[in-house]
Amino acid sequence: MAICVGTHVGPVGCRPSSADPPRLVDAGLAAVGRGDHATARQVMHDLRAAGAADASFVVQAAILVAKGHPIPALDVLAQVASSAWLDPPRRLVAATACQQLGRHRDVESLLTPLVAANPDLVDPHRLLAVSFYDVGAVQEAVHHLRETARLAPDDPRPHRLLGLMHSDYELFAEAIPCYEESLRRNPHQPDREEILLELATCLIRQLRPADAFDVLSTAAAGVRVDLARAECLLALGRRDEARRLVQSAVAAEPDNRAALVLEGSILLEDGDAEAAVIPLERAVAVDPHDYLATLSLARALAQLGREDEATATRALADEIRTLRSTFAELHREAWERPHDSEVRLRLADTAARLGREDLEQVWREAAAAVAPDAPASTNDTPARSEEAD
Amino acid sequence: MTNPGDPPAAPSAAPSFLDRATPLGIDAVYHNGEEAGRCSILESLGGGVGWFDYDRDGWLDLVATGGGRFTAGPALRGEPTTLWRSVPGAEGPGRHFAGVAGVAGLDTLPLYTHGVAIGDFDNDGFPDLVVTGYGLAQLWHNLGDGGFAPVSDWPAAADPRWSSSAGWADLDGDGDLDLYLARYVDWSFEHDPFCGRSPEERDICPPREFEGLPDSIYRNEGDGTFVEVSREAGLRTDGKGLGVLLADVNLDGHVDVYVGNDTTDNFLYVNDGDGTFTEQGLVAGVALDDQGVPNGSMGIDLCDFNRDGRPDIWVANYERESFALYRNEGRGQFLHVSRRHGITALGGLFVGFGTACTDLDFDGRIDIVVANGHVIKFPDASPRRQAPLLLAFDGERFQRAAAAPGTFFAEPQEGRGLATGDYDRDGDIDLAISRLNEPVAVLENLMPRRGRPVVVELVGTRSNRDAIGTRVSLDAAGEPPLETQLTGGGSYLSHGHRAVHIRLPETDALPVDTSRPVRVVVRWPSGTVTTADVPTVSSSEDPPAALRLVEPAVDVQPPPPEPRS
Repeated sequence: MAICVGTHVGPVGCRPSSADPPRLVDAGLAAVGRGDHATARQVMHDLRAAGAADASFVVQAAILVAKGHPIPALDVLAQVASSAWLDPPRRLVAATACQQLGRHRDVESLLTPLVAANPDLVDPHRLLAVSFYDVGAVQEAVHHLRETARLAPDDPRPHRLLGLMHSDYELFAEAIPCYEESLRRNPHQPDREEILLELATCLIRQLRPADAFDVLSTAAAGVRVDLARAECLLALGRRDEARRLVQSAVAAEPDNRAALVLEGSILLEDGDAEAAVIPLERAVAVDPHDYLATLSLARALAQLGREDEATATRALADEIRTLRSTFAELHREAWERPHDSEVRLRLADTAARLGREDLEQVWREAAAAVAPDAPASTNDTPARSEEAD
Repeated sequence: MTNPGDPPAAPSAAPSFLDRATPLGIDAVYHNGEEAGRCSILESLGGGVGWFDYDRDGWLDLVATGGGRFTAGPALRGEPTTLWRSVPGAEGPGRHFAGVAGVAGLDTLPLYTHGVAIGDFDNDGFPDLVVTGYGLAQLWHNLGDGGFAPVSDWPAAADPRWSSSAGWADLDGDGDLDLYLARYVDWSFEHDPFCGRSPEERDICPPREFEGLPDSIYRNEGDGTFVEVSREAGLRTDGKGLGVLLADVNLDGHVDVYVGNDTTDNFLYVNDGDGTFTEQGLVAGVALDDQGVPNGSMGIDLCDFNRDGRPDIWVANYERESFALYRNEGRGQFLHVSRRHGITALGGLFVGFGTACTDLDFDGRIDIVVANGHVIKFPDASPRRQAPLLLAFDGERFQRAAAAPGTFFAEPQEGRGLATGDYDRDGDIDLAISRLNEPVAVLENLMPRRGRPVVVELVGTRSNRDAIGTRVSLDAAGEPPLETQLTGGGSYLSHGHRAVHIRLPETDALPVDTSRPVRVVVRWPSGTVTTADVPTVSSSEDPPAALRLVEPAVDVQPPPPEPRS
């Protein structure tokens, strides 16, 4: 995360010629943002030499945060006396430290006054967006992402995150223009391949297979891209090409769940339920919580007259479906209630039952971050919290 | 305006239909009341049409619901249902239609209407009529003298819950028709939330804003009265029903019920044989799409598109969802094969309503027609007005037939109900389509004919007189057998005339064994099986041959084994 309030900063990479503390702080933070810690340390010394020890602490804290030491950073910031001109960078650095510690309420309370006073500060918006996103407060995250995108017109990341958020909530029509804008802003960004795949997936879900296929034509080859292409080709009726891609994917990655489900569904559509059972059983073995794999397997078993197995498998699919539905409903509740830790804990529990340990962890952290007893300072730099220790 | 999913080329014969409503004298308009600016979900459903020979003169007549308007209060004021009688032309040969709703008495109830369902509930030979809508569903008894009388003591007349599609069939096997009535959601003036991006862009609320209403089954007691038996029959109490199809989908001899719900699982009520049902939508694979997700389902039809002897189910869905073709796999199982057969290649821009799958161009293969139009006022992806679709099956895939500019199938519109019927008795299937706030279209089929038409009319005696649930198998040399079934309900809010339209290959064009007669095997709902030879027609230019088959009053032969299991 770049840290640059940007109100005084001079040309990037140039050491300020004057000993003006505000300019020095901006320069120091800009250096930290570039990863140029040597210059930042020199700025610290210059500030101390100029008698601006508090400003020096802010730059020092920024360096600590950049190195992944948020608690010492907060300790350093605790020494900073209140000062009007130093308040914005101090809050931003403190909020960045709190974000690293998962202390969303602190991030919110530190930065909200800042953007209220100056809505054109891009970094506070950016940090608030990430923080709100992490705790599942979607409306707030979307607001700050849109502000970030406005203030940083060449930055492709806000729209990528907007796309991800919308597709998380299956709002594919809304996600598509976000991904497209992200690609437009920087077609050569490091995440380009991922974005192309995410965009194509949304287009497929919107029944726009021809558009998705076009998007994928510029993506680098790989199993995931090949599977997305296969889905497009299937929807377009080019089954032989699709079948070849899926077979190659299964050969390359025999435990690729998506490839196995696709292979099974093609075989089912071709009327070969007996053959379809094999990849579908494998897919369910790979991921027992995969709804589509389980449902498709139930269908294949039923077609083969294996009624008892079909019934049991269908019951499993139904259970997964119910959990997914609960998860989606809780998502909406979390969206509407950004400070409700209880709903986030229920999301974590549901994620665990869906076999998504990664999401379980995310939601447990989100619950902790918005918990009523989580530290939430107002104006002062938050102290080290016990859980942070 | 560009239509969504316009085909890049003409893969099959252009849909050649001519809207002849005006020259035929039909002037029916469905009003949804949108001019009041309420943007209520009530306005989204639209109206239906029905082809039926209400006066038994051999010519199809047309009924069309009129909808309604909002008035101060707020309140609803119904627009009259209209009835159009086919009459001889005043000048020379040909027919036209005369508006007779007033004479028939159909214009007397101020109901905000949606759909029609036609069935001869008292087996007197004169088709009776149910009109659905907001506030009540009205049953009209055909008096046989050109008039209809409202049946006042039937249970739905006192039930104000919002009804949409309905269908008739003998659900309990007692020889008379029972009614399945689908109900939608719990909208009311008191429960009319704001939806839309801003007050200036108020829009129709999605169905998820409302609770679904339970559907109803009304059992015909055989004495002109009905009893609601929804609970005893085993109906679920959820669902947001828009489309209804009554047919024997598992070929066990009993009529089942398939319900298209809006955004919730579709239901398949498998008939247990005694008028009770087991809901098997998920088990049978017809509740969800191929991703395991419920769709916004509207229009429904039944057809054996792949001619394997098993009836398949076709469903028209909301935008961003594929229309669903559920292939009957036997064993009571279906598989969503829209991707397999080219349906997904249409894209997801259509909002489909009235529909039919039948052979419209007489090439021996199923075609599918869908009336489309959006339900919301400010859609993002596709326009409100959408062109209807004609999909032709080439044996592997359905492909959209490209319509010539300026023709009906090229024109965007807000289509809703659709009904099939051969109103001009030329042997092919014509259409009627209800549209929002514009005249009902009456479409004469002008597709070039590639076979000899034969129209089979079925009359039940031990079974219900309308013969709903009867299966007809055509065994023509040189072609795979063609299975057809007379169904109740179907399409959307509409009623297609129940007759079996058969196309025989022209003897000079195909290697036909002319020494072997073309035969139909008829399996009546009573279990009786009869056969009949199809009369010959020498060429496609001849008038269609007609075959009227009456169910024997007693068993004439034991049922033969099923041709395929």
